[in-house]
Amino acid sequence: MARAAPCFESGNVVYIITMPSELAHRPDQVVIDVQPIVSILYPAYESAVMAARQFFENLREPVEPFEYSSQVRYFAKQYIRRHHGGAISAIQSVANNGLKFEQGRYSIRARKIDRRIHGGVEVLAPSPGISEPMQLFYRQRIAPLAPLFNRPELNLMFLWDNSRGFVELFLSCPAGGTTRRSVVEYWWRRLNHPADSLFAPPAPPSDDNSDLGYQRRFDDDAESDTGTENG
Amino acid sequence: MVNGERIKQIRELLGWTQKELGERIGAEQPVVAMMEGGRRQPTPEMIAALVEQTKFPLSHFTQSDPCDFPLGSLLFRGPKTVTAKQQAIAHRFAQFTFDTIAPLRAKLTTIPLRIPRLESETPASAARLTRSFLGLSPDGPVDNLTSVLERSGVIVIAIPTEVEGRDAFSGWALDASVPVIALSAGRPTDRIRFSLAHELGHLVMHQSVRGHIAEVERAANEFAAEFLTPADAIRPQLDPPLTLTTLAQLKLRWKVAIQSLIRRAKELGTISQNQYEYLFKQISLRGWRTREPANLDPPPEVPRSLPEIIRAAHGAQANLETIAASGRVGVEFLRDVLEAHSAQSFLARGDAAGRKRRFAVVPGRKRADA
Repeated sequence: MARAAPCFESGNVVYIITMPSELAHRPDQVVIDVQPIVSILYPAYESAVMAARQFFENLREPVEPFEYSSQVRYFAKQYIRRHHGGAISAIQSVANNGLKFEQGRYSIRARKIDRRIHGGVEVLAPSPGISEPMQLFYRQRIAPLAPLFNRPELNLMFLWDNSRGFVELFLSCPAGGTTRRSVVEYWWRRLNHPADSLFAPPAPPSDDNSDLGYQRRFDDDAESDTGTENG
Repeated sequence: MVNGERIKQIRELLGWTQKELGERIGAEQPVVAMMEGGRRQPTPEMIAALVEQTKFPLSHFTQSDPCDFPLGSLLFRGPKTVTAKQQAIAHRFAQFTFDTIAPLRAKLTTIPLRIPRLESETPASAARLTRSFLGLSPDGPVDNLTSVLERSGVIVIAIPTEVEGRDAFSGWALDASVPVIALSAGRPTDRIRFSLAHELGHLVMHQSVRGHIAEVERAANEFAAEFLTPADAIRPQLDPPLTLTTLAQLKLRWKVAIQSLIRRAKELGTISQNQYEYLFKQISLRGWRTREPANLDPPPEVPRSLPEIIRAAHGAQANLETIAASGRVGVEFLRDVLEAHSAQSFLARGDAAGRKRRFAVVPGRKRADA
C-alpha cells in the first residue's frame, strides 16, 4: 500500500510526496494480478501487428518503422475497443494513440519496448520524453491516499516487442528518469503468451472409456486358448 | 516345414537385408533368397539360429502364409519421403500385429462396420457423409476420434516404429472386409487425430486408387480437414483478426493443431496469403512448428482394439508368454506391441528423444545396437 505524506505548500505550488507502493517490490504478485489484462493485450498486439503489416502490403511499400509503430498502437486500441470494451473500461485519450487505462490497483500504459543496457543493467522502458505527465508516471506519482479511495497505487507499463518476428509483451515498473539514459525501473518481467497458460481439459468421463464391446461368441469353441478363460 | 514367406516377413520386420540375415544364421545371401522363395529349406542349424536371432518361436516359421494385409496407404507416399526399408518395417509390424489378433477376433462378436465407401464423392462431401454414418453431429468437434473409429468397426493398432513423414497408414484387410489403421505411438494427440482422419479418408474414398498419388494425398487431407473442422462450423471462428492467442483457444475446442487451423483458414479464404505466411512465421519463431505447446495437447487417445481383443479372447489373467505362444510370436515383439498400446506411449507427447528411448526395444534396433 502506498504511504502518502502530508501535502505542503510553497508559494502557489502544492507538492505531494509519495512513497512507492509496496507492490513495486512484489513483481510476482503484480504479474499475477495483471494476467486478465495480458490475455487481452497479447491478441490485441498480435492482431495489430498483422494489421500494420497488411497496411504496408496494401500500399506495396516497405515497412516504415515509425509509421509501423504508430499503426500498431492504433490497431491495438481498436482491437481492444471492439473486442474487450467491457473488460478494459475507460481507455483514456493520450497523445500518439498511446494506450492508458486503470485496472484495479494499477495505472497502466502500453508502449513500445526500447531495450538497452545502462550501467550493466538491462532497461526496457523507453524514454518518457518531454511529456510532464509521462515523467510523473515514471516517477510513480500517484494520488494521495490512493488505496483508501480505491485509486491506482502503482504505475505499470506493458511493453510490446516485435523485433523477433513475433509479439512479446513485457511488464515494467518504472522508477523514474527523464531521458533515455536516465530511465530506471524497479523491475521488469517477460510475460508468458496466453497459449502457455491454457490447458486442455481432461477427457470427459463418458462411454469412450468403456469397453469396445468385444465378447466371446457363444457358438465358439468353449475351450480357452490359455486355460484361464472362464468361458 | 519352414515357410519361406515367414522368414521374409520377420527379416523385413527386423529391418535386415538378406545378407545380414545370412550372416546371423550362417548362410550365404543366395541361400537366404532361395529359402524365402520356398526353393530351399534351412538346415536344422539355420533354424536354430533363426529362432535364436529373431527371438520368435519355431512355430512361427512353420505357419502358413501371413494374413492378407495390404500396404494400403503406405503406397501413397513418394520414395523420397519413405524408404523401402522403413515402409517394409512399418508394414510388417502392422501385419504381425494384425496377424496376432485376427484369429482371436474371429472368436469374438464383431463390431458392426459403419465405415462407408464413397469413391465418387468429393472429399468434403465424403467427410460430411462419413460424419453422418458415424453418428457425429455435423458441426461439432470430434471428442475421441480413436474411440469413434474403433466403435465403428475400424481396427486401430499402434506400432512401435516410425515411418519418416508418415504417422499412420491404413488399408482394408482380409479380402477388403476389415478396415485397419496402423499408427505410430508417441506423437502429439493433435497429429494423431489428423493422421487418423486422413487415413479414414483413404479408407472411405480410395479403396481403388485412381489418379496421381499427390492428388490422392491431397484428397485425404481435404477429407481430414472437413471431417475434423466442418467448414460451416469453423469458418466464423476463423474470421480475422486471427492471432496465436485465438488459435490456441480454438485448438482446445477443436482438438486440432494450430497449424491445421491456419491452413484451414487459408483454404476457407478467411485470411490472405500474407497473413497465412506471417502466422506460420510466428509459429516457426516460437518453435511451435515442430512441437506446439504441450499444455494445449488434447487428451491422449489410446487405441484399445488389440488389448481388448486379447483380453476378450484369452481372459484378463493370461500372461505374456501364453499369449505370445498362442499367437506364435516372440515375447519381446508382443511386449513392444502391447507397450505401444499403453497410455504411457500416448503420453509421450511427441518428445523425439523419449520416443527413441522407449522404442529402442524394437527388435531390429536392439540387436543392431548390441
